[in-house]
Amino acid sequence: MKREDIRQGDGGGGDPFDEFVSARYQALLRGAYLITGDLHDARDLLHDALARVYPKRRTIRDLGAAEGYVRTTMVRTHVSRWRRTRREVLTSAPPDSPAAQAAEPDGQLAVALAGLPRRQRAAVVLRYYLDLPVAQVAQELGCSVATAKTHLARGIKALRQELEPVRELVGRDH
Amino acid sequence: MTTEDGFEEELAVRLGARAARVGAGAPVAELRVAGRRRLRRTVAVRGAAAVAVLALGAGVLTQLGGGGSAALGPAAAPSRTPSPTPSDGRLVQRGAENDILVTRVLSCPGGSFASAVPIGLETPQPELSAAGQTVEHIVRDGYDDHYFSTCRDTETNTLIVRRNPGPTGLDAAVAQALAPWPAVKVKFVDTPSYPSLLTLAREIRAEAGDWSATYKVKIVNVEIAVDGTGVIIHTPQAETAREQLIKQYGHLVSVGL
Repeated sequence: MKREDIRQGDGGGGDPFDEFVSARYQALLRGAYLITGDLHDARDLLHDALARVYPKRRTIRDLGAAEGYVRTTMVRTHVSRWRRTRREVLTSAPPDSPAAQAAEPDGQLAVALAGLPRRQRAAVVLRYYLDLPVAQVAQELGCSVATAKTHLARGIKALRQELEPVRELVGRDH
Repeated sequence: MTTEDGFEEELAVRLGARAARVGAGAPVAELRVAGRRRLRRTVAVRGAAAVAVLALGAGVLTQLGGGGSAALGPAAAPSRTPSPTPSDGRLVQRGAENDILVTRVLSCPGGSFASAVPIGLETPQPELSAAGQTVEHIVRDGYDDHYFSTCRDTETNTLIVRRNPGPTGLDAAVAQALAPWPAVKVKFVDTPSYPSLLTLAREIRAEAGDWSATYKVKIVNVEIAVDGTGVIIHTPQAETAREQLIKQYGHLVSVGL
């Protein structure tokens, strides 16, 4: 009975998946870009998360909730990829090249973000770019609020160490 | 404004500026194709898993002396010890079977419900079994984020539904689903949801290395309590580390050897 009811609902209106993707793709991609630090990785991460949403597309009623689900999927996938590959990352894949990043606008920020562990980086992006409350950051990271606060505090401390010398120079120029 | 606030505000602005460099149209058609591909793969994997589990269940029943005649002899009577391997393919999808340190628990608790068995196992009470299956599917489909498990109490012809007690409509949906079986009773038990406990268990598992390296606390196993009341951390340092572990992860956690 339930299955029949769901199928009857298919015919009416546009596909919620299409509507969701059209509305939120760019915002999600931007978040993914900050979390991964690489546009290609960001696209992979986002597309993988959206593919997971597709089977549940008929249940999409609240765009905010669906966006939260996609973001959570991206964050956790990103962190778990790190868990699986961190040995290789530590030994064979160097961090983003400072020289390459320096050519970008705000390359200092890119380098500083790249230097953060992935959980800290994701926490910083969720809190300071997406402006999520700490409780939601914890939920999306899949950890306790206390742990999320620890990630945020450590991330901010590391970023401050990397970025504050630049701020001081800027201050002297003015 | 403090220096700290100023830095955080500036960071937010710089993150926004960096993100604004990314602009792209949504490749909806491509994403739809990828989604369909993933859906087909998921269905195929679930189907294969269900077939494998059914085959395993059939083998077990054969070894027990023929499933259909289970009620005829005491040796084949429904076990009072819950089984961790239910025969429903969907149930097998649930849980943390890939997490070595997180034990997946699907069986039903004993105690006052000594005859409780997990939904999906054979039962001599077809009405209770059918009602349980229906409830299981409905809550999994619509309320999975608030649901822990459903068990049968064959002695009282009762379904025991463990779920988050929030105002989700789950209770009403279960009551409505049971309308075709008026003799079947239902008892709701307040527990955290399975996904929330799984998240907590995985977090603890993920941080096991830190506990070992920092505090010399070796987390051997993380287990979701069978009655849904919380998460059990097994460590040889249970006595000395209990307070610290509960302080870190909250009172849903209990610590044992």
